[in-house]
Amino acid sequence: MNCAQARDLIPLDVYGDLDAATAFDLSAHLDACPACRNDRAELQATRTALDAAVTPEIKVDTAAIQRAAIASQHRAVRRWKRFAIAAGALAAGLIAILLIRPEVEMGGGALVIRWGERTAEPRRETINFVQVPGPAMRDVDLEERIRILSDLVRALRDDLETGDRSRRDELNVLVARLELLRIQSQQRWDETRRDVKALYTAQFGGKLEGDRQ
Amino acid sequence: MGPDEPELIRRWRSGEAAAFETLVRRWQQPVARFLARLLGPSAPVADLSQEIFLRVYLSRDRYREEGRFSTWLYRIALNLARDHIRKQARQPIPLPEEVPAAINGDRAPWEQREIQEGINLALAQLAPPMREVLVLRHYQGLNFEEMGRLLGTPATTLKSRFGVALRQMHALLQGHGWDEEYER
Repeated sequence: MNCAQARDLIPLDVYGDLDAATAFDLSAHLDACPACRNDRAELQATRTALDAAVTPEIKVDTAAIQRAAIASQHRAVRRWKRFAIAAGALAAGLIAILLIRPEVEMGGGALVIRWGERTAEPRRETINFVQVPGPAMRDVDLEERIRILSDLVRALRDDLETGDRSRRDELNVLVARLELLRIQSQQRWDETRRDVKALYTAQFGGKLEGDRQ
Repeated sequence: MGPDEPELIRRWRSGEAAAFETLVRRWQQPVARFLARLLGPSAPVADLSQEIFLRVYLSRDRYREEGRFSTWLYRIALNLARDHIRKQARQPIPLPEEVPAAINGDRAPWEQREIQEGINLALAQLAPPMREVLVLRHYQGLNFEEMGRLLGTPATTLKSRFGVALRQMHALLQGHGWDEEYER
């Protein structure tokens, strides 16, 4: 055994951690090597010095430990209760989702959650508003039509005067009837205007827009 | 002489309060010594010991018979001590303003106190792995196989580390005024 090997073994020898054969070999080296012997003496003194350290006297309070353990167990039970409630709520939610099978649609800036059987598209009711011609429409439309029709009949009359004199009287009658129709229409229109004006005045107390009188 | 440890542990695991009390009385001083050497004299050893035995009490169902009770207990203590060291690492460690004076052959009470302070200071200056192996071997009396199970390190590595730690301790004590006269 050389000094390097002995140096590794001396700390273990000081604490009695070498097997008998190794301890014997080391002892033989120490007998022949003053330096290693001195090294061992220093480490032995260090071991002795370490024993001088004081150990603080303590007394563990076992009653406090049992109280703390009970409190800890109560906290654990409360945690489990909270966990069980949360897990139950989650499970109920999952079951509900499985049962109702909602459909989620996103898009167009909207989130749509739908559940249950898909129903047919709601029937769209079409409301047709009957547009009653106003006074201006009445003036332009009916008067114009009558005028055009009269002009047409006159043109036909003039055209037929030369070709078919026999039918001229009939056409004159027709012209007269049309003229009568125009007059009657004008009269009805005047009556309607008066009624509308009276109703407007009764309702709003002002003059009807477009009425220049 | 109380009951042997396996019987004591069996009774403790079956819920006998008196058995736990006996275990605590048997192990409270070794645990306190372990903490004091690892963490230094300013550590709150009593509070930490209380915490360690609370963890032992709460871990009763997790204890397995395969290893020795002491190894299991020291593992809990070591984990707590390491946590404490990590927390303390964020704070400045107060060191004595003066290194203890040289120790003479006459060991008066004040001299004895200086020796103790010197040892505490030297232990505190060791790197944590060195300190752990020295404390476990010297103060707790664990052999290297037990230490290997506790620290998760091969015994051969721990033997080498222990030799280095003991030599560093010797050098530190000399640096703090260790006197050859005292050594004799």
